[in-house]
Amino acid sequence: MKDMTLGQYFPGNSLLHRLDPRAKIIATVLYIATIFLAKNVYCFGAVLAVSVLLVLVSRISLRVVLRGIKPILFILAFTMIINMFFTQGETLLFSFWRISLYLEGIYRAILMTVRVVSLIVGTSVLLTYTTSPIVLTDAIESLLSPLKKIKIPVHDFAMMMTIALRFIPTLVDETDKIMNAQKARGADFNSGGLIKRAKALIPILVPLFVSSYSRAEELAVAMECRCYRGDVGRTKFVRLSYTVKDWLFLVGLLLFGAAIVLANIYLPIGFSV
Amino acid sequence: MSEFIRAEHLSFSYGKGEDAIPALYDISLSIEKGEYVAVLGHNGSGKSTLAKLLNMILVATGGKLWVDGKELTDPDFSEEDLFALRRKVGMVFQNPDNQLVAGVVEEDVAFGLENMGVPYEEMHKRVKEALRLVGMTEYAKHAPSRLSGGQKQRVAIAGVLAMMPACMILDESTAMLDPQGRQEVLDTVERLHRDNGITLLHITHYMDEAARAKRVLVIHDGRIWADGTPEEVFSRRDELREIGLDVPQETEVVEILRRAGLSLPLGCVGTDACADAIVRALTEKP
Repeated sequence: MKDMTLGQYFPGNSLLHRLDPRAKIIATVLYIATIFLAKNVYCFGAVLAVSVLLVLVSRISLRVVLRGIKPILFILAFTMIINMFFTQGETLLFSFWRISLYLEGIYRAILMTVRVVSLIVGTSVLLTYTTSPIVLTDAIESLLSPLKKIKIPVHDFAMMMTIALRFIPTLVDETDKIMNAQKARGADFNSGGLIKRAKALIPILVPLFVSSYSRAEELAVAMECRCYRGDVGRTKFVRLSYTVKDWLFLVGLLLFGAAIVLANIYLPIGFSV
Repeated sequence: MSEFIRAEHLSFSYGKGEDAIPALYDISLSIEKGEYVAVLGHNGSGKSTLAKLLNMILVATGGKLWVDGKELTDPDFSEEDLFALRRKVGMVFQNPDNQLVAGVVEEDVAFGLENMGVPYEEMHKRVKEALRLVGMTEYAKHAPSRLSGGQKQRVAIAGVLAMMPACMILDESTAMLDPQGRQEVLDTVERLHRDNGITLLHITHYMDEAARAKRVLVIHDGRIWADGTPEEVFSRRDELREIGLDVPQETEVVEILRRAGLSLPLGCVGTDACADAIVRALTEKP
């Protein structure tokens, strides 16, 4: 359970792992935009190919990536069916009672699936699987730092995130302890209906909340003792720096996005959505 | 040697007005630079309150207090003075989990330095050095949650150490550790005291830990009850018992043997010293 702090992160040393985290955040945004720009079959083919390429470059095992899709399989299947049967088109394949299936519907269902799958696969490989949350926090602070000029407390948010990440394993441990303590007193967390189970959680949440509160107070004192005073005259231990490979990667993605836009315009063949 | 901490008739109460709960009364003491002092007292005696006054987590309600020549109770004491003070007086707390801020050991050690605005190269040098001094170099990239209690506490010490303080206060920093962790922490801070001349203030309720210091200060009901070498303080065994404290186990053994008629000194402190004294007493006897 302690590994929760790492989230989805898989340590490694691939090209994607070594990219600057800020470049990866920007790349993810670019990539998402590109996916939504894609309109015809060729574009979707290219998007899918790039997603596969990203997975290969990240050296994350295919099993892990597929496991990431599992939770959305139901939604995926549902949208697929809806798209298949509720798209009106020209080529009627099959009609029964009030349900009719068009060729366009099948196209559309496949394309939507490709879109969602590459969205999930691409973003997780680009960001969550290959970037540790700690580095990600630094990157977010750095990317948002222009907002400090309009008095948005970027540093404070980043610090909150850092502390939250730091304390997840601590709180998980604590929850374990409290649950065991309650079980030792005869609490039952595993039977009864939904409401009964939810109610059984109250004796866990209350002590957890109380102890977190006193933890927070102690931590605040400890931080003050180490001269913490917010974002005043602070220097950073982690220094992020863009290198040639970050720029090349971003330019590559940008070109890919441009290619998709051009393909939308000049390659209208095939079915588009 | 020069004076580092000086208190004159220092007092402190929690709360204000009629609800005020006094915690310290009329504390006057002086601690030299480079001293190793243990502050002993049972729970609620005011020993932690005293520590918190020294780096101004709490502000004294009466009397005067100087740290390194600067008066803390001066009404003109500024925010800049406060940060200068906290750089000088580092504090390690009881719960190792509640004082580590960052998710990576080396980043946590750097936290104080980041706040002080130490330049990048210097910061990395100091973090490395601090981790080396507490023997945690190989854990620099680990997550604190994966360390043992003693290791976490050593990381916390490194975090304080990187700020290069003149004085380190351990506020019951060993209370939540297992015997091995306690040993690790004590060995680390005692080595720093010896080699780097850091003034060490160890607040504890373990008698055997207090016995390792050069000077023991006993706080009882908010007052200084005793102040002297461990030998002097622990020779008052019966009085200590009356206020709910004890003497180290080996001192207790020597005392019982002394009362049984062996010719042993009063207030023998330290396992080796006690063992030697007993051996001597037994071999001298015909």
